[in-house]
Amino acid sequence: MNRVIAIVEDDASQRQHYAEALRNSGYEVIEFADRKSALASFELSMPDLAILDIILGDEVGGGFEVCRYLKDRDAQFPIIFLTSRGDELDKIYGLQLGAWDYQTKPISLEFLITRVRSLFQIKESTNQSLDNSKRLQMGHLLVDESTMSIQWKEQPINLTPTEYDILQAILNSPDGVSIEALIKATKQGVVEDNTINTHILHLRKKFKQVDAGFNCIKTKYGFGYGWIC
Amino acid sequence: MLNTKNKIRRRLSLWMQIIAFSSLFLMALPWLGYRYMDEMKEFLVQGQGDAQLLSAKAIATILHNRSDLFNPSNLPASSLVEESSLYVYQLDDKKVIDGYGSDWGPLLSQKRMFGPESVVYDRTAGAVAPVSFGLLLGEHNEYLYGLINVTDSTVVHRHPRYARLDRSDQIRIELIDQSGAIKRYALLNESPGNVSVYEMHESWIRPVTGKPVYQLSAIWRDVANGYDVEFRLPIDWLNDDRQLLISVADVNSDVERNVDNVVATLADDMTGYLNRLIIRSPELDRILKGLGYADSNVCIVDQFRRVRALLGDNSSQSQLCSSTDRVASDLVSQTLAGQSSVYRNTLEIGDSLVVASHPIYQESDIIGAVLVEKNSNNILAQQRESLDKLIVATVIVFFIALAGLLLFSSRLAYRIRSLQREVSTAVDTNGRLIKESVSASKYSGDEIGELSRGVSSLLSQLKSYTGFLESVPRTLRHEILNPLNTISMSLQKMDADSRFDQKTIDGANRALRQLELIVHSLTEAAHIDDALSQDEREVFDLAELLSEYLSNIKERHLDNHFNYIGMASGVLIEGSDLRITQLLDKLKDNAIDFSDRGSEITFELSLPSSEQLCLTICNFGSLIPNNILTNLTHGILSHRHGASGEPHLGIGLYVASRIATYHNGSLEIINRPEGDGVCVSIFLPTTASND
Repeated sequence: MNRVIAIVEDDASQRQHYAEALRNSGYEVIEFADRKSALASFELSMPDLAILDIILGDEVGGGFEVCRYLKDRDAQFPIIFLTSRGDELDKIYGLQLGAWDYQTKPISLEFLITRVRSLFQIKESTNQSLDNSKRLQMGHLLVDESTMSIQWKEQPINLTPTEYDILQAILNSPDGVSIEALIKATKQGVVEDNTINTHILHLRKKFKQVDAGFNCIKTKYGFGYGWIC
Repeated sequence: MLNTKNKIRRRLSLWMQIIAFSSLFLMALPWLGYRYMDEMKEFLVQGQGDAQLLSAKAIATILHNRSDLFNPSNLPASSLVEESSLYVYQLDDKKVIDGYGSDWGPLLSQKRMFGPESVVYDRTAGAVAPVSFGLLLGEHNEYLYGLINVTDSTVVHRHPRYARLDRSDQIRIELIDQSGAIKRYALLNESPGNVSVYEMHESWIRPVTGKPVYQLSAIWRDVANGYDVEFRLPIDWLNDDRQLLISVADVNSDVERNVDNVVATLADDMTGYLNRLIIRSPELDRILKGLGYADSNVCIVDQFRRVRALLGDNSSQSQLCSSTDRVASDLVSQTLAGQSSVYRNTLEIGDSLVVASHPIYQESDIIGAVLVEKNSNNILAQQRESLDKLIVATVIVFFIALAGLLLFSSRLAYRIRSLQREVSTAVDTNGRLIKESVSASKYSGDEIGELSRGVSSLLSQLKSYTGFLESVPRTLRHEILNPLNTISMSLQKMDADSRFDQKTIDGANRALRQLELIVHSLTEAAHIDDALSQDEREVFDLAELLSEYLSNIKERHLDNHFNYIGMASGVLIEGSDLRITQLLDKLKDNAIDFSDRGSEITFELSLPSSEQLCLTICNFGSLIPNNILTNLTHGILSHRHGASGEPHLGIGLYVASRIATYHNGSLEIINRPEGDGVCVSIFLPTTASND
């Protein structure tokens, strides 16, 4: 049975592009132009994943409304936000609602599909037994590449796929990784330095929630970041 | 801005202007008051004159048809009789009978002279010059006083061997007593000193009795050219007509002892008559006293200008009615001609003497005049008192008004200032609107209130306009990114399709990326303030950060030489290290963009004071025109041509400036004094170590 992906996007041409790319990858896609029609359909049957634009027509926060509805139905429901605004990024984090991800416009279709796969992979892996071969222990840090999840001092930390990618990039370079490399690692379009900084801030916060003394992600001023522990 | 400031004329503050103007008007108050009081004084003096005239009229009315008061005698009131009358002055005090005239004081000048024109007897028929004498008569306390100065070259005293009394120089007094009989008294003596007075027979040879008369006392004093006799007799010896004659008999030879001549107070052709004495009428005095016109002088003169009654303070101020026998004054002349008038004489001390006069009639004839004389010093004193009160009142009013004005103007100035303060803080140093309304005076109904409301509405309109402007980048980004996204995805599809030329697609992708950069730059500037306010602040070492930053960028930007001057650690500031890095990135990018290829870029950290640090980033390259130096951090657009070829919107400096402001610091851009580059200085407050 094919997985059903719901796309809620008010711009018809963009919506068609996403839908076409996803259908080509073998997913079943249902398209909605506004919140109402989307929610009406979700009432009847829930999709497996949703791609939401934040601004839906006249509704500036329409995407968040849809997200809230889906979250109420299923706390672990995977969602990808499509944003065009830097400040919306903080709002998404502000929601603190599970392992959702976002893509900034312009969207790389290739990466969108990769993300969708990742999310399905994460969802499945929660039910699977752990594959030890893909587990990596670095001091107190345990990275599970198969589920794209990490543990710090044996406590799980819930990261978005983007954050996971950034952390991976930092861990892979013992001498630290430059901002440019991190931007590449997030496989997004144009990302400001500050967007990476924001991700780092959120990463640090998530670590500090389980360990207040966490101080392993170091800033390399004028260059980037490094994992020093 | 500077030009406008220079053009503003230097003027006093509003507060000072109000005070100065109102003070001018307040100053006029005392002057007006003084003018008013002067007018009032004039009016009062006029009133006083009118009142005096009324009094004079009233007194004159009482004295109407009372010629008996002026002329109680039965003698005809002929001018001849009047001319020969002897005026008896009212004396202020009793005279000492000593033969000396000094105690008669100023009256001495009123002495009446008798000489050859009134010789009544001349034995020598002109062979020997007749004597002459001066006479002064006065009255005090029911006594008649007399002073006689006889000019006689040979004074012959009485010789005791002679029984006849007409054998020496002597004074003869004739009078008509109460019974109407003529009494004759001879005043003579054997030597100077007490005079012997004898009542004489008509022949003046023998006394009526051998006994001297003591009630008539007299003293004889020989002087250089004659002798002086001072005498006193009771006035009730005289009858109501008060008739009296004084004559001087002169004996020149102490051998023959004959009376050579007699000079009398009445001329030869009046022989048989006596002089009438003009004494101030007690009757009139009584009437005047009854009228009780106090604090003024009332003076009644007869038709011969002689003062017949005087009431009041007989002081020196009484110019007209001083004790003269004849009042010589135009006023009296006018009055005696039948004209009543008010006369004002300004005295030296500033007040004036007001004299009102009115004639007294007997039938249709004028028999005298009433003069009412009063000084205006009462009014003057009152004026002075009023002036004092006026000054006090003016001073009080002045201070109250001044205090009120001070209060009012201070309040006004305070309201304007607080409005000005609010308006000036409505916009921050970068010209961003931070207030939508002003609260100063917003509820008051006056002009300042209207101004305040006007400013508020202006600000809210501006706010909505700037709100619109601020939302433009977001809207723009959103609106542009959607079509960009579509283009991007279309390109991705084309990329996968081998039918399309790869080079064309790459070119389109590059253009797309540039567009994205522009949109990102725009939104970064628009969001910087919101983003800054969410940052967490912590204390970190800026020197350490800089050292590391410089060593890292040296590796990444091999085309330029970076040089760091300053300490390696120990400069603590409070803020966000990421933001400071962002600021450094912006300034670094800027410096690289505008520096000559391969030239040096210097980062210099210094501590001008213990509380402030200065970070200066200098590059060599093109200069910034002076007129836009200060505007660089405000604007969005670059004024220079960048070297990198990347779109340059001048947003970097704006973002850097906002970050500096967020750290309570400031940013300053100057051209190097050497003219070969540009320096950007950031001033930030340092913080003490937490250790």
